[in-house]
Amino acid sequence: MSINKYQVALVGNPNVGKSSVFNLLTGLQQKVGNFPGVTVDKKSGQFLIENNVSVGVTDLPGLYSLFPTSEDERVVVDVLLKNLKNPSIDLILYIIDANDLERNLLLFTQIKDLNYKMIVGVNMMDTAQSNGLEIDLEGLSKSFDVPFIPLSGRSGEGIEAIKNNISSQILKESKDGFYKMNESETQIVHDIQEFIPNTTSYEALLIAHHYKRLPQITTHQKEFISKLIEQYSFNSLDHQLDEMMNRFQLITPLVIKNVKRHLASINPFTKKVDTILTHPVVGLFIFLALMLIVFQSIFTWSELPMEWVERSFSWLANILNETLPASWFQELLTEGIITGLSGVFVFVPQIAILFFLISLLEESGYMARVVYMMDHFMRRFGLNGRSIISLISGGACSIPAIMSTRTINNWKERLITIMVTPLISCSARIPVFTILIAVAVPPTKLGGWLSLQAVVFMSLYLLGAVTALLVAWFFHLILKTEEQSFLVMELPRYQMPHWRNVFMNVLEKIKTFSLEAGRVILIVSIILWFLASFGPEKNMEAARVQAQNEYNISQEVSLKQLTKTHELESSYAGMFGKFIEPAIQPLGYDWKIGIALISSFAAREVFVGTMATLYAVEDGNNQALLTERLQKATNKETGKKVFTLATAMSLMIFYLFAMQCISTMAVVKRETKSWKWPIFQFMYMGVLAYIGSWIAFQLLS
Amino acid sequence: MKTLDQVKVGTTSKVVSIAEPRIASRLMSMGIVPGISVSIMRKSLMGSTYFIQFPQLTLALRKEEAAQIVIE
Repeated sequence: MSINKYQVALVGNPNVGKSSVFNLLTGLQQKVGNFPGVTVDKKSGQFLIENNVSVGVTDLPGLYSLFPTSEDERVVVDVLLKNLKNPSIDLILYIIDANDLERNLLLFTQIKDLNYKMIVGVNMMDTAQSNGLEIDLEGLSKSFDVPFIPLSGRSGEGIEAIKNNISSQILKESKDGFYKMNESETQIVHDIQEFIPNTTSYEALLIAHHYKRLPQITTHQKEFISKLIEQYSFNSLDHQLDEMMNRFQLITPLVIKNVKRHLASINPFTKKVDTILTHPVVGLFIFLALMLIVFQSIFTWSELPMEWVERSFSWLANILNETLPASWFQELLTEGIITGLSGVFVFVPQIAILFFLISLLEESGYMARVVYMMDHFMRRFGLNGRSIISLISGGACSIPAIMSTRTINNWKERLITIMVTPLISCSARIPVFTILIAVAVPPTKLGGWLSLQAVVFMSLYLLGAVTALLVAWFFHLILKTEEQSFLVMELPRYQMPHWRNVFMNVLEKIKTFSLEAGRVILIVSIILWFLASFGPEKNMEAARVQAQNEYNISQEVSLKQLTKTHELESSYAGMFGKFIEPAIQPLGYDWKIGIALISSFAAREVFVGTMATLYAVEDGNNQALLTERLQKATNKETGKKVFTLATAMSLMIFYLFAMQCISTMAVVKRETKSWKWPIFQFMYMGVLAYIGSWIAFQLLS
Repeated sequence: MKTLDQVKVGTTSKVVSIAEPRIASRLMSMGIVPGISVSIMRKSLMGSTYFIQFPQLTLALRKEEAAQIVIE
């Protein structure tokens, strides 16, 4: 990116259409990072103004006042205060909803008192007019000494006017503060200003409110300020209330002066729709129906594109196999890298579909209603109303589901949701369950009509969901947080989704996943390929000899396949499978299953392919042959069958509980910004899988 | 002293004060000041989450938070 002459920050209340303005300003010139030290996303981008001057813009999280209650909101206060000492933001573009001027102006006056240069973008002027509001923007501009510019986040009207005002506003001198402090505030501010030089008065007051949490305040300064707080018995919450009250008393007359109200302005459409959509009983059924549609869409709509992705990559691998000379490099390319890339991009359709649907729910205003309806049930398990959407999507794939937790703004609730979502049975478990059920569960009909196989299948799904809730409840008990759990949530007006925002959101999610999680998936795929393809040369040679000998006795299976089978057995992965055999014996597994467990570390569905290789089934898609081979498989030492009902159930429970998905771990790392949580998740799910499988095996054998 | 969790769905009353200062600060930053009118539109299935209407704002609150809002 080129060097920007000016930096602008976008600030405003939640639900005022800030992201629309951001998308309009930057178009595709945007990227997502995160604010240092926190898990809050930082969207930044750039645009050009007159004379080809480049302007950088950062979208700050929405908030109601400079007295924050969540991590997201705290970031804004940190950024605004830090910037006063170390200036990089030249101007605040403050977005307000024309329908709620009074409430929106509170934060505006606070930021203005920090002496920031500002422009106010008045969004949704059109709906305000149809709501019967007549707003004198020129009058407001004069009253607050800042230009109020009308804009429409939908059509893009007014964006040019904002761009044209930026450089002149940056050069303008700002006037006196808006808020007049009371006596005790003046005293403490005076002392802080003496102690910390170059501090403006409102900045000092905010330091008095927030000093404990501000990273830029040194320990020494904290001690000093805490003494002052005691000396003046400065009660932060009381002063917050007084200050806001005082500001509203100044704002209200200015709004009354400049706004004529022709009608009562409660949106009748939203009111009518809400009587149905948030009805205590009907609303729940509508929600469940919608979730069924979401779930079904991720499953069915993604099937075809996922097949395309897989086919294109295997087509590419075939071409390379044919054109390149056989070598380890060709194998690395086709079996390591292309398999890895295919494993990354195969998730893109599901991610795109889920985020398309979630953006629609979010943009229309419905998502807040979901939180309202589900709050009671989810709260018992330490989850948020929004968690339900992540958990249900987890039934298709954990990856987009975990990415969707970003809208949960309570960190503890979000973390618990991330931790338990992989316990919900995803689509990758289906092939594993299908083959094992076919091998070990007899196709009897209970009571003459209910298939036992289907009952087992259903029970596994149910077990996953119940376990997820129980584990959530357990984490809720042990995880402590300073953040108070309370629900004070705005239910915004219903509106048509902004298609630009929906599109940008989907695009951003795909980009983030492919770049950040994709890297990890690719690396692990290459490592696993190496482990399965290489072994001590002596053993690999012996494997090839054995394959030749077996081929000489019977030509039932091709030499190539026999070599592959025995090479895998002798590879590092095979050695590892034998090495862990004593540990997995109590679960009913032999070393071949051990190899499958290791290769499934990348993705669960790899189980089927590995089993096909180990049992010399040439066509990996030939389920019937693989089922037959697995049913016949016997343990050479004991002579007993390998896949008994006990072993198969134990194995399915292992695949249900264990974290065998490197892609999910990569996404958890990306969402929690540390390896600590995915590693913890891997361990707890591993323990759960081991104990669960052990119990299943011991009970059934 | 009457609080918001004690009134029936559909009744409109006036906010006198908010007892818990943290919730008071949060609500005030959303423009909820003493004297404003408030009504409960509906409650969720289990009755623990409230759908609240202020003149310019619709909020979801839990019963515990509603119990902090003192009304006339």
